[in-house]
Amino acid sequence: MDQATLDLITYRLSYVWAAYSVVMIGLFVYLSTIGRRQRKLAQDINLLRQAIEEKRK
Amino acid sequence: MDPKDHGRGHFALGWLALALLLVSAFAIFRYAPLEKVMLEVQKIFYVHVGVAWNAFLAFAVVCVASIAYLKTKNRRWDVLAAASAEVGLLFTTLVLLTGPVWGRFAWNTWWTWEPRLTTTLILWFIYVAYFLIRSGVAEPHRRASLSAVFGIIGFLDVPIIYFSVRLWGSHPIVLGKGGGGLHPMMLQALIITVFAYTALYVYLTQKAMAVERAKMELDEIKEGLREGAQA
Repeated sequence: MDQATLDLITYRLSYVWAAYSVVMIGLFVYLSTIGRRQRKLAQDINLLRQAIEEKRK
Repeated sequence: MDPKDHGRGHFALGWLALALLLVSAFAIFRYAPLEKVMLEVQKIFYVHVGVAWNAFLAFAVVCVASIAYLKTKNRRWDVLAAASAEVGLLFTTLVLLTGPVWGRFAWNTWWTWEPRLTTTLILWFIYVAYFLIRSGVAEPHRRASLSAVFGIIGFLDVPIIYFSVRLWGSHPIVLGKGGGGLHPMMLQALIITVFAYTALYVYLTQKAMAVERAKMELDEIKEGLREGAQA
């Protein structure tokens, strides 16, 4: 395979790489934000419950 | 994928989705033959269709859950609708990002105001507005009712997207009436990819539902505190 053909294949593969990277990065960012939101909400719920318990005492 | 969060079923589903994504990657890059016109760039088609199909599925679930909420006023339906809308919006974003990459190679432009692209962008704006409504209304039942109505109306755009290409568009048709068709091995790779993203959709929706349930719990605690303060 000559250099020109290899360059063309690399050029075409750069589009494929870009599209699949966008999807993988998008999914990774979403998964990490949803995990963070879940932890933050659990923390808030625990804090409020503790505050209520202390008020009752 | 923490098994303590949602139970073993959710944990197993996460691994199943991951395994299916790996199988789909093998099917796309090693099993499916190279298309004659677009060559390697055609491989974008599989992931693009996989996420697009599941975005439509997500909004269909939003529509059904919204109707169920308006009928029963059970907030569990609102939780499902909001979670599915969130994943649907994520998938629509991915559709809108992967499409232009293909378009840049095929049409030599990142974006064109072609009917399917335009109606898909409208769908994305509709569900952004859905979340603006949700964040703008504090009272839980009012928020759920308003977003349910919006979720049902928003879903009307999905059939418009589907038929737009057949009526007016220049977007390629592959499957169905008027489509160019697919090589059997390409079709198999596509089916595996759609299944992989469907498993991922269910997994992500379960995760988003856990967040929505936690928000609901927080709302209830705050409501209880307000009532306690008034008494």
